[in-house]
Amino acid sequence: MRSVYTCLTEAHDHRLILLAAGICVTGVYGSFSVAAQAARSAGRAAWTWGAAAIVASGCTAWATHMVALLAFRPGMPAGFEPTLTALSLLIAIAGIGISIGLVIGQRDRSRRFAAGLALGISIAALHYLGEASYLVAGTVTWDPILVAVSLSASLLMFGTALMVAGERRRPWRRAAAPLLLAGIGILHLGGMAAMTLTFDPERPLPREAVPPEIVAPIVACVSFGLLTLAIIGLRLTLNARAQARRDQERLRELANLAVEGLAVCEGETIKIANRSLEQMSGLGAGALNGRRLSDVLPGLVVSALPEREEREAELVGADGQSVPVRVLRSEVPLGSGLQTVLAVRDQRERLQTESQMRMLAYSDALTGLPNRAHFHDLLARHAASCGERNQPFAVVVLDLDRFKLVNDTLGHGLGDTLLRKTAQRLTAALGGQDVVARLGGDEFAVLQAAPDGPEAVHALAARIIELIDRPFLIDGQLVNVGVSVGAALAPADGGEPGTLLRNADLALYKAKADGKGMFRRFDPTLDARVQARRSLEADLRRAIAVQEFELHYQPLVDARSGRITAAEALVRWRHPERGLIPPADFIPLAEETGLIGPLGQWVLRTACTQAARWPSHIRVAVNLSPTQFRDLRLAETVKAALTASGLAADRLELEITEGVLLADEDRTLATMTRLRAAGVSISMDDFGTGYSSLSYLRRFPFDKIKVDRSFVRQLPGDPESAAIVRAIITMGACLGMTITVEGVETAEQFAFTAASGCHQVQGYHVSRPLPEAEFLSFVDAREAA
Amino acid sequence: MTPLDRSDLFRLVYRSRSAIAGNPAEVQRVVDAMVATSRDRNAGAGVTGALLFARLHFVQALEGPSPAVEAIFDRICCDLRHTGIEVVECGPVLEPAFGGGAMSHLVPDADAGALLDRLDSEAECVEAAAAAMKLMLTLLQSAASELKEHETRPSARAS
Repeated sequence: MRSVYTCLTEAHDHRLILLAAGICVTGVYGSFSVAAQAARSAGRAAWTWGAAAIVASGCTAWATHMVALLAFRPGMPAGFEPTLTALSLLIAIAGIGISIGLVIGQRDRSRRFAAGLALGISIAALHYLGEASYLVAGTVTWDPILVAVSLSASLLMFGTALMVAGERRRPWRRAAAPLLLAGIGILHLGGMAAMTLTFDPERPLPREAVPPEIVAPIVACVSFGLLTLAIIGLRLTLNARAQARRDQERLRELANLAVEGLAVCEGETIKIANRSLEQMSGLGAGALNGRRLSDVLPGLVVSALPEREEREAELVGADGQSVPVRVLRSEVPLGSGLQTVLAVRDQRERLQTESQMRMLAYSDALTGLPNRAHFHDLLARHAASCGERNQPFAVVVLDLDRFKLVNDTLGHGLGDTLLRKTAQRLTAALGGQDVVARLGGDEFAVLQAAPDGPEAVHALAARIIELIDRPFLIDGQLVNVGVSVGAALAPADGGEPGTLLRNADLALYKAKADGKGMFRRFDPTLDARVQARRSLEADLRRAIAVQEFELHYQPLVDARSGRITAAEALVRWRHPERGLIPPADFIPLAEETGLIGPLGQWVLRTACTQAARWPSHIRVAVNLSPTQFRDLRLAETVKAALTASGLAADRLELEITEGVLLADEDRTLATMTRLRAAGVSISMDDFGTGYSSLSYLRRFPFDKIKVDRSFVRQLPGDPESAAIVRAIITMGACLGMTITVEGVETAEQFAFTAASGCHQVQGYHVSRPLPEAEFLSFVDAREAA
Repeated sequence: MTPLDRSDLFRLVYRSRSAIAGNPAEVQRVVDAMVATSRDRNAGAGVTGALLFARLHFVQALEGPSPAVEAIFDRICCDLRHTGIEVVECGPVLEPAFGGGAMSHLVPDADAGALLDRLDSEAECVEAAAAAMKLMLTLLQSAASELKEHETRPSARAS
């Protein structure tokens, strides 16, 4: 041991020893930083950097060794054998390369130990080859025991060093570098101490020995190269670190930009959260970092979350309020490995929008009351729950009287305000559990949840009528409307929502028909009447299809000659069970239901066809309803009927009432003009009733006026009726119109009208309406007379 | 009241019948409470006027900006504690007739008895209302003269 000590303290140049240490440190740093660059690179670059790292580490070992040899002062001339010196360098590089090749990508301990041995052997080879190449002017003797001990100890250390370098536990890993250093030190110093040099002037330096003065610059060059490499490695490392920092910064900025809350978790702890998540929780920057996840998202276990599947959760904010969120877990490669990232999506806005949409869909925008859909929904649910317990409830429907008038005369804006105020008053009329809804227009409905009995429904209706009857003050104007109310009480008036609403509606119609401002409760007779109407309607449809109608004709005679000049076609329904039904019982229904269209067409065609067979001086008169007259194709229909029957156009008279003239005068006038252009004449029926505006006679091209039967009834006794009839006859004559007096029933009446200058007479005095065959024999008898 | 306010002045006077159940004392309590709330509400909306409650009838005059009067009348018309509401007067006016102060609660004195009887029995609304208005104005004037002595609210209540 003494020799090792003296070897270090006496036989060496200390400055050069320090230089050797510096070169070693520089070279090792350069090698490692370049190796790290190789690890960061890929493909060819990785191989190139890797090779550079191996060469650099070999050179480091060699240069350190050479400088240490140069530091040696043997006290006699010394030199280097060039081949061995060069060989030692190559062996060092190759040994390190092999050693690294053995461990790369390997986790096996024995493999690492073997690599350490390989490294040790190569360093030892370097050392002893180096010493073998060291030539002195003397003899070299070796202490074999020291060589063997130091060699085996250092090899063991090399193997152990590389083995622990790959261990998981950090303290073990930390032991690797000192072990390696110690191994190198023992190898070198042991080798040096084992060598004894004895000066022998007899033995000169071999001729091939290169003096240190020449070797030193070479070693210096290599060392300088290593220094350069270290600087490059340093720059590479700095660059790589800066890049990593930038990447991380960018990632964080990106995360902060995200609308979703993001948290990187380690187990059940939050490592980092982005700004969105902090804002969602109402916390300051960084306040979430290091918090337990269960504090923020109680009840959520990250490990139990399936990946890529959203879960509903509650986020507890700083103020203790919980925020509804959706959480998504994903494993994301971040930096060195996979990280658990939680994406937290705020659901407040979505839920709010959803509830707003639900509200919009279920409430009336104008009044804020529930709308029809919502009311039906409530009614259905209430009916179901009350039905089970057989509890009473009422459906009350109402609409405003005169609302249309208000809307039309005072404007829609005011009408809307009126509806809003109506809604307020209705709300004031309700009981605690009752619900009022706007069904549409000025139609409202109340669900009376639990009336004590019919009296309670009555009282509610009375309150509604009282409140709506009060004046409304709108924009400084007083507006008066009333309300009609109908109600159906479950279970007495029905249990199904549909039935109750329909029955309440029927009661409302009744209330309106009874004079408005009224309340009516549903009454089964209402239903019976409606049912009867409905069955009549179905019957009528069937009758039109199978043509159960027939035409009767009432003759019109010339007032002076008494000859039959025309006949009015009158429709009769020969019902298979009910017998002959008069027109008054089904024409209004036909008008209401639109069945008048096909029925009227049938009447027109049949009358034309039958009249075509009559003596040619007898014309036929057909009544047209307002609905028929409003049909734009009327002129075409009439022409088609004439063509099909072969009846001359001037033998057809169309009778219309004032009702036709009331609507759309321009259109009516156009239709009349077209009909007259076709050769058809037009009569005004029932003149004297209704408005009897004389301006109609001026404006519309009538060929004939038929004086209503109501004036004739009191003739000739009643002087006023007589005056009216005479006046109409005179006026008609002056306007060039034919005058027919209807409803003449007595000989006196006939005589009076004839004397007054009337052209035609129609009535029971002449004949009642007759079936076609009877009518024709009546004509024959009359002609023969 | 600035001239600007005055140009927008709207007056509505209505008459109605009380539907408050109970003995006279109870009814009076309810009416007092009604007056108290309406006074606060109306003053907040810039509406002044007078309320007369006699036996069975209310007569109330509201004076203020048209939208405010409309809003108060809406509330009055949603109240089921009275019935048979009839508007006596309704339209823009130049001057407030019932004073610029808070809603006065008028209680008729003995002198007003005759007018009151008319109000109760009169079938013709217009005449009765005109009578009521006259009565209210008379009461207000007497209340105003009393006010010089007492600093309390302008009511003829003391009598």
